[in-house]
Amino acid sequence: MTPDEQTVAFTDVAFDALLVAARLSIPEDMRAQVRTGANQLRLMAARLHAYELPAEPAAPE
Amino acid sequence: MIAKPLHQLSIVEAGQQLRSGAITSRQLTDAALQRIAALDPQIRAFATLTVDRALADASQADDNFSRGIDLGPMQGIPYALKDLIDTAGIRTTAGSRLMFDHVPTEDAVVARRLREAGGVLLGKLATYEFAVVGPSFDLPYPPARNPWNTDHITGGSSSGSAAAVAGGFVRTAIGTDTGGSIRSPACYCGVVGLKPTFGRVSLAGVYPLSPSLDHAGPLSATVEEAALTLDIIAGDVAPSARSRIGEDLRGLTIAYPRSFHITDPGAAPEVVTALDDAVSQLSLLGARIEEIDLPSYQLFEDCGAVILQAEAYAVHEHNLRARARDYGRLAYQSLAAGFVLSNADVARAREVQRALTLRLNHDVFSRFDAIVCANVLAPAPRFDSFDGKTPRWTAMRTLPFNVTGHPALALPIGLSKSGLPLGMQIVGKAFDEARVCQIGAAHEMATDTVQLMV
Repeated sequence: MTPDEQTVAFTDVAFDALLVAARLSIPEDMRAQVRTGANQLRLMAARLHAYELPAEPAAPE
Repeated sequence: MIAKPLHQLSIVEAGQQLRSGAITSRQLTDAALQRIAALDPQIRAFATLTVDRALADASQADDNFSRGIDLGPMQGIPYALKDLIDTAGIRTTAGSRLMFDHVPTEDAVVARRLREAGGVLLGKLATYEFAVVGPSFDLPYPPARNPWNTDHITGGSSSGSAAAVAGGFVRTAIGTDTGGSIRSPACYCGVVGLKPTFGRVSLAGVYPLSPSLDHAGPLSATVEEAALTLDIIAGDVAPSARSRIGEDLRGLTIAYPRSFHITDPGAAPEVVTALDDAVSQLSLLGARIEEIDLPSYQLFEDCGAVILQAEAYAVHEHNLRARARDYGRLAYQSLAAGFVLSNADVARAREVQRALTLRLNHDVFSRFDAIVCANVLAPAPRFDSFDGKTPRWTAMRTLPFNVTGHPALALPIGLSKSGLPLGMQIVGKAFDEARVCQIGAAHEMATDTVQLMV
């Protein structure tokens, strides 16, 4: 199944917990944009994990 | 014959006149400084002007010429450096309040090589903060503006480097490129930009954004000047980038991945038409063109973005915690988002990076001499289309070649209906900058795109 934005997006609780673990305190006025960016990155990473790597090409004879 | 204004002399033409005694480096430098004084208050390419250093460099070059000392093609030629590149004794801010008072004690390797080649340093050029994202208006200096129309952005992050060349302040400047930061501003500003092969140019003394994707390279008025500059900053690790300029294109095979841009709804019709015309021109020049498909752009973008954002977060982690308010808003928001990426995400991205690189080498560069493809997918947007609060990247096709490390040349191919530059990329095999410059120079000569410069 291809990951989509909805299935990978952080819940409020998960986002806050991850911030605490990272010891990162985001100024309130920038929090929404950071979260949007974080969700986009999470989606990109999820797509990479779902991608089926092709077999490595054989070296030339 | 009417003599060209000094700022329109190519590096080679100026070098001939310097060596014949027709002009001096001091005259070239004075002319550049006068042009900057007249035009840069509107363009804002320079973050720091180094007038005293420039005059001292020019005097040294003139002294060398008078004594028969010749350090090569850059001797006596004005140039400038992105404000991300260390210069001993000259403030280097990376466009950030965090480094506003930073004065390095040593030159970056690229700065040292240009100094030792006898160039004349005019100053440091505007960059997006830490080369991340822009345009921003909450930084130590305002964003550079597009010399073709100052209501429009230059692109970035090597924004001042592109504006300085397009504005006729220097014939060559150095920028950096992690996802397209040489090539997209080159395209928006109608100049040549050359992202070399990963590893060809030293990054020692260049503030990192994402060390495994970062590159330093020239933005220049013509392909030959970009190649000449690359040869100097690279040292001698690979064949000269100038070595094939002037050779015709007969017998070359070029891949054209049209589907790489045509499927993107952000591709402006006039960009699509200009690219098709440019490829036709290469065919008329004797190259055999074959349309191919590359792996999906989204895969390249996912892979590059995960690596870039994870590495950039690692570089900035301490300051993001300790000095959040010293960052500009856009850079902070973009950098901080990287905290969500795990080691497993990055490891996966590196597996995909390896697969994509092997695929290009095996499937494309085993059959073709080069790829010609889109650069940015629309002309430079207006400043007022950015809200200053939300990081936003314009549609482009540059990041794939940071992921794979192949050399990529940005080249102007015409103007939009609104009078803004359009461009393309020519991508080559690793360490084969000579081939991309050969193809780029042939197109440039055939289409007179050098006349695009303001």
